[in-house]
Amino acid sequence: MKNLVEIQDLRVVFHLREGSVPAINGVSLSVPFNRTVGLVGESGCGKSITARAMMRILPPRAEIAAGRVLLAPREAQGSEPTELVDLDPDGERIRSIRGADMAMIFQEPMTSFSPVHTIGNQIIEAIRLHQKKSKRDARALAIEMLRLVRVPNAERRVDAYPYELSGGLRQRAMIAMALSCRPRLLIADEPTTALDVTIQAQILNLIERLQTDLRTSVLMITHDLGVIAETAHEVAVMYLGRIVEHGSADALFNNPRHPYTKGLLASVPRLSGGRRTRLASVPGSVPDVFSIPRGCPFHPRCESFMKGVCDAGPVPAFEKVAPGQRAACFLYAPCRKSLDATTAGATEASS
Amino acid sequence: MIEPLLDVRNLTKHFPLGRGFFKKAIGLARAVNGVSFHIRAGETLGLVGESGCGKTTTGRVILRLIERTDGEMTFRLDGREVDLAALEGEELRRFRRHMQLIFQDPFSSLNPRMTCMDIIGEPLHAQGYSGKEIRDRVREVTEEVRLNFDYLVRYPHAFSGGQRQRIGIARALALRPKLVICDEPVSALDVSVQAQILNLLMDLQEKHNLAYLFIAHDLSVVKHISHRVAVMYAGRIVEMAPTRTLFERSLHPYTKALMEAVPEPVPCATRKRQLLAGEVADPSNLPTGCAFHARCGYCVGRCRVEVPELRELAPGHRVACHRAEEFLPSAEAPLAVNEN
Repeated sequence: MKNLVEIQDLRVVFHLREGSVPAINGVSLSVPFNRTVGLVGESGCGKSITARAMMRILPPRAEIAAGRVLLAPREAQGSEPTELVDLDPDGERIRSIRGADMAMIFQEPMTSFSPVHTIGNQIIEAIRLHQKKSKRDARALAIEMLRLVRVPNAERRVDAYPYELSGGLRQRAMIAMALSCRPRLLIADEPTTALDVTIQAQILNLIERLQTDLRTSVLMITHDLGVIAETAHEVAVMYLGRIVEHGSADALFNNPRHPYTKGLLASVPRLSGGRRTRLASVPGSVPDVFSIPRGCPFHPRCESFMKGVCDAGPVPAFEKVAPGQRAACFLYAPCRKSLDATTAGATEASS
Repeated sequence: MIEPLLDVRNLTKHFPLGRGFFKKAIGLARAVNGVSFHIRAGETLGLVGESGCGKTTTGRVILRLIERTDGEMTFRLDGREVDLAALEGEELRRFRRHMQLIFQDPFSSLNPRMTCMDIIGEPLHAQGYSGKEIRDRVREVTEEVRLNFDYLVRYPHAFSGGQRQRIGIARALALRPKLVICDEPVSALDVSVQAQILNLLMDLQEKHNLAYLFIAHDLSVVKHISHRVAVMYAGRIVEMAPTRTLFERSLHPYTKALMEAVPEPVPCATRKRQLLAGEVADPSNLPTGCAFHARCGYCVGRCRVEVPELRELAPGHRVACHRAEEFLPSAEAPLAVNEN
């Protein structure tokens, strides 16, 4: 396998009382070895659900309806990738993968630690679950991990309860726990959203340094385009359960192709920008899952909306629109493939 | 010179810290330590700082939602000066129409059991408006925030985050206040919606000559909307200047570090980053001298013992740093940076 993880045409459905709603509509995304991939989008676009589907920790009412998630084998395990979707979400196999191969850090480090155990004991538990280590060795490793993420006084802090630590230190401890078993993929779900900017800068620096030093791949999930620009090599932009644009960070920020990406970039107030000018904004708001628009789901908010094309019915195909850049928008000829297929089908049917 | 609408001098708020059943006093959390500023009509003063720096407390003390420990607050209304701290009971209640608040979280700040019509009309009701007046004013203010009046019979849950924030703004504006305190009004919103709300706030300010105290932690948002900006650290204003001056020629090391920490949506930005080590000072255990000294790269002996005054170094540009003169562009010699 070329990549560490390959997601292929993933579909996730939520079964709610009101009916079944699609949350992820065919997402394909790869995380290469030793790289940071950014997944960016507004709330409700499905970026966290994608990560949870990979870890197989979806909420009870959610179900993977289709698609594959392939994890490259470790060197010792031969050459067959592991298909994560087929695994029992409560089974032995996925539990040995979580933590050891893929680990996740969450937005709110207060709620993701148990409040009644010391952080040391929680890190030790994670270590002993995956590695044959004595309590003493595991504790030494826990302290070493806390040092690695630059927690001051690690020998003392290892016995601290989560409430005794500040937000920044808690997030560091969370990262230490996630990395304690040397996972190959670190999924960071809004790791700095709850933190102050100066602490955020420290944590982003830390993740970047660990990514290089430990040769880990990182999937960075965030709504903050600034965080993405600082950390990611590649970026995927999601909207309503689909990836609408994917490319290198340079290409995406300097030459965005999809109108949604353009709108998002234009609506961020910048330190380098002028004062008190009107911000460009994407009109309207994200529609709710029960009334997803026909055709391209972005068309009611789109500046480049083409009547009779974007709302005709088919969703634009996700295709290569420039070297190294893929997008799903009818402005680009390759994406009209889906449109042509439908019209061709309609003509055949009528004739 | 235009007289300021609100003049705050030496405002202080210390919270007692208690322990045990009888809340035996064991210390003080010095949330706000002598803050002075003014806001003119039609002007936005941005108040920026990290969590725990006292920016929200400052806003709430001005609104008399919590009582000050010390300091003066003067509100200028139709040519007469009102001492905000002296207002009591019925007088205070009636005065509240002139100062309103927009909250951060559009989900928890709207009562889920009230229709949006009632939510927006409630301040009017509290100030004794009649049913018809309320209805007319709600209709007017709803149009101003660009919401559909017919939808107001619904409950808050039926609206998106951006729409709810518009409802919160409509509620704040229903009484036609002179001063609006915006406490992180866009930080809970998605970027595309955040831009809409910022634009709306600027339009409304122009239309009604509103004064905003815009409290936020996001420097780029503050830069965008403010005429002047005050930077707070550990309960004090450390730097205050017209927006452009502050962002182009900041003098306080904390302001500079704060700006450098903001991630910009420009990939591979070749900015040299001076990361601030350590964390925000604890208000119940403030360091001696300048509260920032432990994190500051320019700290000298004097900084550890003497609290720096907020001094005016250029017209309208105030800085609380012993070494601020050395940071002025005219200073010739390069600065010695302490490496600890």
